[in-house]
Amino acid sequence: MNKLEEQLTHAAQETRTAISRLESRPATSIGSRRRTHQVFLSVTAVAAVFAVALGTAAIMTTSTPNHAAPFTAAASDSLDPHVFMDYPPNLEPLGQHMGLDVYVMDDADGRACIGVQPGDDLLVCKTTSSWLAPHVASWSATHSQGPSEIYGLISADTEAVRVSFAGNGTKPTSPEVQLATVFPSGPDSPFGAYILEYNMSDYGLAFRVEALDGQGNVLGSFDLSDGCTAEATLEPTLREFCTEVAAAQAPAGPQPDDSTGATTDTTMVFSSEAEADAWAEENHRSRLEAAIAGSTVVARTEDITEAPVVVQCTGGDDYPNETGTVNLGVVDTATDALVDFIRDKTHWYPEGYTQFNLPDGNIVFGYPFESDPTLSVINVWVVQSDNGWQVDSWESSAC
Amino acid sequence: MKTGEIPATAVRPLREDFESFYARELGRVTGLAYVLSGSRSGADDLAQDAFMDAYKNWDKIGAYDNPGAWVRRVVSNRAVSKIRRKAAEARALVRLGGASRTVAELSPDVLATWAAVRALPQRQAQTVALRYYDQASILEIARILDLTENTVKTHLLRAKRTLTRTLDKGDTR
Repeated sequence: MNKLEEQLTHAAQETRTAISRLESRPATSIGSRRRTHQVFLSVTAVAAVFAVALGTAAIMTTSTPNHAAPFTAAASDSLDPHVFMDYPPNLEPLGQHMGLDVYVMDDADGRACIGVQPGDDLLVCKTTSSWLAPHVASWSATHSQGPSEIYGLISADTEAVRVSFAGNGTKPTSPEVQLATVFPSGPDSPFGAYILEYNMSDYGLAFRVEALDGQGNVLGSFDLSDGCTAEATLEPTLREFCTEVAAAQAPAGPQPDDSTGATTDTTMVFSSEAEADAWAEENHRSRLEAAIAGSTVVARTEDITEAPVVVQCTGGDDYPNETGTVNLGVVDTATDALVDFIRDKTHWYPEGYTQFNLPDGNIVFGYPFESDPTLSVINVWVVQSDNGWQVDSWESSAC
Repeated sequence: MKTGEIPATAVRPLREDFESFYARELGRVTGLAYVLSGSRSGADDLAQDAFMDAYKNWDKIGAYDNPGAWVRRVVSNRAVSKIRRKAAEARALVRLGGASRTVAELSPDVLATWAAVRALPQRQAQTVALRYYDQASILEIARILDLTENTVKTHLLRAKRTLTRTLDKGDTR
């Protein structure tokens, strides 16, 4: 066993021992977890009683509270001085600010402020820039490839969360977006939470989250439009779009009430997926026509010995590049072949390609990767035949 | 443990009831969440959330060959998610009334080791945590994370290279 393995093995052993020590302490002094376990089993037993009383085992599952019983139980516990908690020295009380008891927490991800509103128990998180609307009290989002999520906090009077999306020319796909969890608040949990899961690779990329009361009135909302910092291959489009959305006024008119809807900047409200599809196609078509008219589909030309590598999404093996072969007709020029091909690619760039001339006379049109222009995010191979040019195959990042 | 061998923690009676599954697995799964999240209190909530999800779907998950692998996958993925981790930490914070206390249970070198693991790319951190903390085999890790065995080996190899470098330098951020 080498030094590193010894180090990891030692760390594992010590950690397992520490965990087991906590488990073996009396229930009055080991913190929330042990009690959670005990109460959790009690809740399970209660659910079982209900199930028996109602004569069906299936009820047992559905009668479980939506928010986690262990959490509820633990939340009702009194404070325990022996709770193993690793906030200090990262968590510092900052006193009162805007009526909140404020703490600041530093960790490897950066600094976040947390405010607890005395009496009302409303918890509000602060980003680095501004306090957020109280009823949709927090947001965060990841913009990486693959499944992503938005997390937010909601106040006690929130009955529902409505999410609207802004597309960037690509379509919001309903099955890929779902409100995964809503943890309602209650007497034992001072705030609720929602978690929205979505698949970034399909579309983007601004969200409006609204908290609704029991009558459907909007209690508060928050627009997420500036989370576009990840290195997605569609990043230039993403940034441009998000900037537009951030600068826009609140959308007018009715808002979509589920994930099939989408909004864009100030006016666009889609009521159905088909409508969003149609808009995306029209948007792509008009941008492509403008690019053709302005001769900007191909931005530059370069002689090259080998086609540029198509960059792979972060996540490596999990997100392999997409490839395909094409059998479109022969046209007069290589650029015409590219245009014909990308006409139906409504989520691809309509302009800005580099024409790479290969030694064998064929051509690769590449869309440069912003962070490293020697790489591509899209390659389209165009080959020459007796009568002209035609697209042969393509490869794109799966982001 | 030989490659391909299922860890003892994963062995269970046929169609185990949830209560015994929960009691048996909670400690190890909480520890896994701690190693990957770096938050002891947040780890509690991450583990509880995962077990609650398992409980709500126990008709289905309880019938799996290895429900422990399912819970480990959920916890592994959620623990490396900044969002889930922050959520769990925030819940713990509120539950504790904003109080800040600590118990120094782990030595500084152990804390530094796990910090270095958490600084790895997510998949690498997950494979290291499962391999060394949870003592899972390559095959078991592959099943938990839904990867091929070769991919797991690659992640482990890269992780060890990085860890050797960072721990030697004492660079654990």
